[in-house]
Amino acid sequence: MTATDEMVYVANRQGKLQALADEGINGVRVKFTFPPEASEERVPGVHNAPVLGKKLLYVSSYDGYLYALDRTTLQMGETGWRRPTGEVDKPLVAGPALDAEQKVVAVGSEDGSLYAYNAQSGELLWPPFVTGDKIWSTPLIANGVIYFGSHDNNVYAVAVSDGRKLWSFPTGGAVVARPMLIQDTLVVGSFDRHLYGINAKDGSRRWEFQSENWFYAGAVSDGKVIFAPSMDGNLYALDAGGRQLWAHDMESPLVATPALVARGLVVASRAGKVSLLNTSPADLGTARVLSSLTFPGTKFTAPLAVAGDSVYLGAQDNTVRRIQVRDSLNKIWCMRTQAKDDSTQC
Amino acid sequence: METVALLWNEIIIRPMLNTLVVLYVICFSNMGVAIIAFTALVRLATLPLTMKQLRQMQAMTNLQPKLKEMQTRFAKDRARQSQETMRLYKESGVNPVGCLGPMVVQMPILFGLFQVLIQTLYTKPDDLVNLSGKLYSWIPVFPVHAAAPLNQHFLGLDLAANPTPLLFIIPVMVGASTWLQQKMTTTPSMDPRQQSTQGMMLWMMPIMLGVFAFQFPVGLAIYWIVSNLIGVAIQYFITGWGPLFPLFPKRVTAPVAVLPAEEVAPEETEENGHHSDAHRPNRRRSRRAGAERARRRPQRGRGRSSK
Repeated sequence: MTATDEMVYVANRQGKLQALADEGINGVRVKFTFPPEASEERVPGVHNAPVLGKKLLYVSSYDGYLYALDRTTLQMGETGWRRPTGEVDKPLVAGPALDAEQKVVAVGSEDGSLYAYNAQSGELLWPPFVTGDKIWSTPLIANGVIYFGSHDNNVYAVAVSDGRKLWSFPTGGAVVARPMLIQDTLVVGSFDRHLYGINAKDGSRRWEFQSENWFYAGAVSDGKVIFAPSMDGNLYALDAGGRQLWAHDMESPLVATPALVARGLVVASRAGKVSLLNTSPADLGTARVLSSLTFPGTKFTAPLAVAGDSVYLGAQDNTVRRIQVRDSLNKIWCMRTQAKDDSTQC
Repeated sequence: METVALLWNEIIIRPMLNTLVVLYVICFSNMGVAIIAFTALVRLATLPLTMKQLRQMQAMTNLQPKLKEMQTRFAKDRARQSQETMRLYKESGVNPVGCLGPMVVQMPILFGLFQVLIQTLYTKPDDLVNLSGKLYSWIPVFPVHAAAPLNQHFLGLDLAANPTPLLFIIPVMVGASTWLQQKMTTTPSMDPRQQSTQGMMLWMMPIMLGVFAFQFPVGLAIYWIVSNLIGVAIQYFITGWGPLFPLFPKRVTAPVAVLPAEEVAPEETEENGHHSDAHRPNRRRSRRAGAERARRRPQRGRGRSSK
């Protein structure tokens, strides 16, 4: 899921990509669907968030294809494309990453390779970069380098220009989380329950931090503090040197990447709890929670999207919610993306 | 209901799931070998129950001729028939529902195992997320958390995928091994009706499981095949290959000749109701002699049993 002030792009696991026109308190309505409702065609499931370019929307799908669709019509039209052009048998679980400056879109596949395409034409830029196992980690592109993790336990840095390997960093488990940069330190979590701080230039280890379970979702940062969600249910706040500042227990695994907004940090758990946390470094104890909402039976698993003063949450039950973040969390609307009749509200 | 789910999860699912993952780590991250080792371990753990079950079935089988005789002899006196049957069970040390006990104990293990394999052989990231909550974080030597995601390939097969039509050999092996095990454990009954039911079950179950194998992950089929083969091996140590032959017996259509009670040689049956191999030639001789006597004196036999 990704959002702008007017439109929310939602991909569900049943094969439909929808552009929702956000009408605030009046609700939301489906503006475009890909493939069109009348079509029998399906995009068989999307796991990670689509990425918005200036004209195109990039979506990676379980059918193994990367789609570039016209963001205003949600069709391929004349400018859109689908890659690869031939048959594929491995799904794309990882989301795409876009470097708007260099016009490169990169995505990792379950076949173990990273593919980089020209963001406009869809031309393959260099031979696929091959790792030792599946890639579920959505890449990060920064400073001419693509950073990503693999099931082969390594974190890789690859040059955007020619696909050359710059370095690799071994961890003790699979790396499925999206890496994140703070200053010149690459921060990425692993299934060995460690969060690693890696020198982004040479791949050397700067620090590591251990939790009680996997780091599945990516960390976020405001430039000073790292906020790392763990499957042990804690949201850890660390300084740039990897020292723990505080931890907040959400009481169930954190699978969704949290979102930073002006008022603080919004975290959503797998047990349906959404909290707005004060990001101040002081030890605030229970006062850390500024506001909280609970949606029983709803498993929030998709990375949170932000637009304006709102966050958009996608759940495993194919529902999407808009929550406005002011002094407290206010539910604006909720929609079932699967409903075929008028009962789209939830 | 929540308590039951919690107990089921903590007592059955989590210990079995973590054992499977530990075996995966020991077996050089090879899920196929881990499933085979896990199946062997489960069969080993339930071996005392299996042995007890098989011995009870064997004892029941050995009692069949006497029970048949009793039924014929007291055909018109149901109460007496029941009384005599119970006496026979008691004297032979056989519990008529004894073979069900071990089976009932094994059922939760089998259901749990099924769930564990389904949960471990995930196909989508969401399934993997479910797995994380079930792994123990306190196992110091074997880092079960770091083991996931598990490598699900074995001998070129994707253990998490359903068998494709090209891989029909897998469901066929499930069916064949099930048939083999059933054939080993089912001893032909003397009752034509039971014989017919047994014959139907002997084919129904393997066909059913073979069809199911197309719907479930290949890893589960490997469990079935290995488990069946171990079952055949256990049965071999108890009864030998005897029950397997003849492979396709002719169905008995005419009722067998029945001896009066007093004509059954007392040395045929041991105190515990088992027939030892050493007595088998005597038993065959005795049966032949009995049948001969029955042919010579048909009216006396009929007269007594129809009283």
